[in-house]
Amino acid sequence: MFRLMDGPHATTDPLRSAAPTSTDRRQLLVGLAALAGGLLLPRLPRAAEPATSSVLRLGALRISDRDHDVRGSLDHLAAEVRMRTSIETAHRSLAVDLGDDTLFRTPVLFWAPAAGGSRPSEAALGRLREHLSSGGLLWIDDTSASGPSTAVDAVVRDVVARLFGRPLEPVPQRDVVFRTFYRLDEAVGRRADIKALEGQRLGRRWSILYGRDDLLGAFRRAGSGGPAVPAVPGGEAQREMAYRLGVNVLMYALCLDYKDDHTHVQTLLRRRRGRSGGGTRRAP
Amino acid sequence: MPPEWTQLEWTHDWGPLGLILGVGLALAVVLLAWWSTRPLQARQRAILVVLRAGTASLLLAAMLQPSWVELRPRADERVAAVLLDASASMRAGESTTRIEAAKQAAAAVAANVPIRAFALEPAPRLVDAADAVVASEGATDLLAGLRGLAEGARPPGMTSVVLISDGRDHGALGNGQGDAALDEVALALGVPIHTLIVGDDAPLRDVVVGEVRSSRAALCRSPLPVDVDLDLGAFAGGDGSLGLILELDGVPQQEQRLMLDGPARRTAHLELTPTEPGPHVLTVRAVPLPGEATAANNRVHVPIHVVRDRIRVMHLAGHPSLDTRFLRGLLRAREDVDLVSFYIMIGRAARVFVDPEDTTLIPFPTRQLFEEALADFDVVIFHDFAFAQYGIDRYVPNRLGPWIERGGAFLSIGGRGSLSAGGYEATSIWPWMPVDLDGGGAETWHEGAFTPKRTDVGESHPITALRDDRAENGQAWEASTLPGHNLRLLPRSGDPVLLQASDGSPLLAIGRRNKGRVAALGTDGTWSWAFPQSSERARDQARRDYQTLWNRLLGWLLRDPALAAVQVQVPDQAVPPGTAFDVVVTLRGRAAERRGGVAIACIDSALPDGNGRAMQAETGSDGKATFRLRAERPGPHRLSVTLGDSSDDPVDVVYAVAEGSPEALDLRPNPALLGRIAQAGGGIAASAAGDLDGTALLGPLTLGHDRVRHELWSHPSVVVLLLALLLLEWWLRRRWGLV
Repeated sequence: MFRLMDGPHATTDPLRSAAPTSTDRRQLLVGLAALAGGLLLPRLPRAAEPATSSVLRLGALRISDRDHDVRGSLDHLAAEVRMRTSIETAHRSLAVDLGDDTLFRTPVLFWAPAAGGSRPSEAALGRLREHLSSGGLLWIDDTSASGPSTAVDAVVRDVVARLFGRPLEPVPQRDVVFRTFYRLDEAVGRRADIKALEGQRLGRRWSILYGRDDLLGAFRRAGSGGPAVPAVPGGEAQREMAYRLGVNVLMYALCLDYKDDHTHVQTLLRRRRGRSGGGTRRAP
Repeated sequence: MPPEWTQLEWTHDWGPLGLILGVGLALAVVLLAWWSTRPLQARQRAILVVLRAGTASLLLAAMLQPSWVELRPRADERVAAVLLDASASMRAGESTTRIEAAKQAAAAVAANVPIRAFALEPAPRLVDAADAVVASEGATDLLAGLRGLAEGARPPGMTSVVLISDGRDHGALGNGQGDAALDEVALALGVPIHTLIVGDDAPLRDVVVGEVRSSRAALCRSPLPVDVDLDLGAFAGGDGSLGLILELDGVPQQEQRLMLDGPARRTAHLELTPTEPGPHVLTVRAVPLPGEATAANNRVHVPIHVVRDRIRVMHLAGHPSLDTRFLRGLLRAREDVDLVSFYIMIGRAARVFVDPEDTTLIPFPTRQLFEEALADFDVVIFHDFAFAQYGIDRYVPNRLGPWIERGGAFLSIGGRGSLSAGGYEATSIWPWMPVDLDGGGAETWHEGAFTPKRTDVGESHPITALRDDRAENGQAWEASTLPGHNLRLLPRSGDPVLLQASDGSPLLAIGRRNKGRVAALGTDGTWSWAFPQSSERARDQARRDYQTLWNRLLGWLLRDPALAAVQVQVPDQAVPPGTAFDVVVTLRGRAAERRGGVAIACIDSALPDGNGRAMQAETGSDGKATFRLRAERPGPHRLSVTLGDSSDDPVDVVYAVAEGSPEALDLRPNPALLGRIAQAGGGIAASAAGDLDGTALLGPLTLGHDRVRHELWSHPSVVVLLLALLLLEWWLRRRWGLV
């Protein structure tokens, strides 16, 4: 009855017919993706930097001097998103300080805090608050090497509480974040300790998402182009799940609850047909 | 004619003293005669004294001025005022119309008594003869007619009033009121009021569409129940069926067959689903049956106002982007928007890396949206969307295009996959685009910040009015920037360009396609206003500007009356035919800055396809212009109002002219009302078809008497008699030796 909207004049689902469906083939694809993302892309002659009009450029937020620089991870995430989806992403992410103009050039921010850094000023938090209130999204990542850090966690909760005066809340496993592109059962990163997300809502959308399993670490690349650190305990399959979570987060940043629409769209259309019944109906 | 009575009257004005002096003088004269005749014999003396007494008495009687008075009736001026109902309902009747029956009744009355005939229109108008009365379009107001007779039209010698009517009254009496006023009028007339009813009590062969019950405020795309009271008259219980048609602005929406077999009075339940907001006229029409007494009561027009409860938006995007994200955020934040979005989330090349089994991607319901559900949307947005790649192109000529022509709103937002960059020139969408494509050149996109420039039209257009103040608005546009725009766009003849890009090419162009509206925006960078990089204060304003621009663009596409240059007020009730009414046009928005002397053009056309009548007016210093219209052809009418020098759409409003006079809706005679009038006037109520007693209708002979006076004292015989008495006395005195 339906067909995917990804092929001209397709009468069947080209994507479904072309895509592998077995686990083995899926793993092959994962490998191909890793190969493309890790090996091929850095060596290919890079196309001109995509334009900035509506292209998504990721921002690596630095609130204190001790925060981790995750620009490399973000660049690889952007490349994966470009490769897997129709989102146009900029090749290079930006380092963003709360005090400079780059803050409002990057609606999607990633922050990897470190313990012991200086607390942000009220003025700085005010700018971040305005950013998020205007439609921005902040991903907070605990990139601690060996496991979730209570010190980092304290920093995060302190900043979040100061931002909107409310604590973080769990992101339900059935939330649209887990369905924006990939269907995910859990949120894992380079680590798989917590496997869940927390966040803070502004209205009907998440303005802050917080993962404690080093999501950005899964995207970090060594100089050779391969993964910089192993994904534990699940290895490359877990890293793929981390990529999928990253894709979903960016998809959520641009589509919000779009997928929630789709859960209701058939009902919506049926309801419209029902409401339009009776009498001779004319189009608008 | 003999006098009814006679009597003697003394008309002197001497008073009691004068009378005493007169009598005394007469007695003195008689005594003087008695004294002066002493020498005569008694017999001679008595004769002279008698003569003198006679003379004195005659003088005294003449002094008292006696007159003989007779009271005679003026039989030659006794008339009956015959009032003939000349309203529209008097045209009814099968073999003989009611007005003809009324004329015959008047002639029957005139055969017995003198009459003065009046046509009730509804004021009484004296006519030379009852035959000259013609039933008009007007309604009946019997109380007004009787009052007019009492207050000025009363003929001399009127001894009675004969009212000939069918009793269908739409004045105070017909509304069940006016009894006290009727008593006052009857008292003022002072003569009996007789009533003669015309029209058959038997059910007419006439279908009457009575009251139409529906909400006067309807919601777009929501079913509107319409209940209709019907009276099938003598057709009830017969064979066959009645066609009942529900129309909106003269266009049929639903037809229902109603079997005649059943009761005469019944209610039909109809329904329509209006799709266009604004004023409309709902018409219920019964198809006339063979032999109907009149078709004037087969249609009823009811003005309604349709409003949008929800705006249904279909948002199709070629890929998720910051522009789609912020536009989606704006649309989702509006409580009056139902948003259905479909984004292309995966590119062709990405299929190698993505297993759809792992995703939540869904097939795009192209057929369902464009074949089944398109009519239920108000707005379709192609957002940086190379739609032809996805099989939608084949739906454009037969689905999307006609949907636009019927009133849909279509918006194409630019980007690297849209307009020239999306290969639109090779698709069938171009007839519905407000811009043309330059086929040459490879570059389709300009990257880099630029300041959009308003055209002359854009400087005063409501879409580009980010601020209320004209100067502030200009400054806002001069300070604004956008990050990139489509290339190779050209203005299209007849479609206004509001904004230009850095190279002078159209950035925002709008157009009208029959009843629909279209717009093309050659950038996907307006999100930068919603998420601005400027100073904090400027950021707040930029976010407001973003919302203003998009809300105004959507409002214009949806023909929001709030964005129109004029507001037009028309009657919210069906106007009776023949009456005059005012249509007030008020300037608003930028146009209101000019106030006086603005030319307004107005075209009045009967729907669905009547010829238009053009009118012109100018606004006064209050920014208003008034058109004086006369309700003529019954049914819905459209007024298209434009500013004389405006390139914007005309503002269309609809009004209704009622179908004939109100009483044409119900032709049944009303003998009870005529009975009430006769009772109040002390007369009789009878059928005009019966034998008429002319004498009874003429009323009692209590008026119109003349007093005829005959003066006795001034008669010449009195002088002759007086002279005769004096000469006889003088002759006897000489003979008897007293002189």
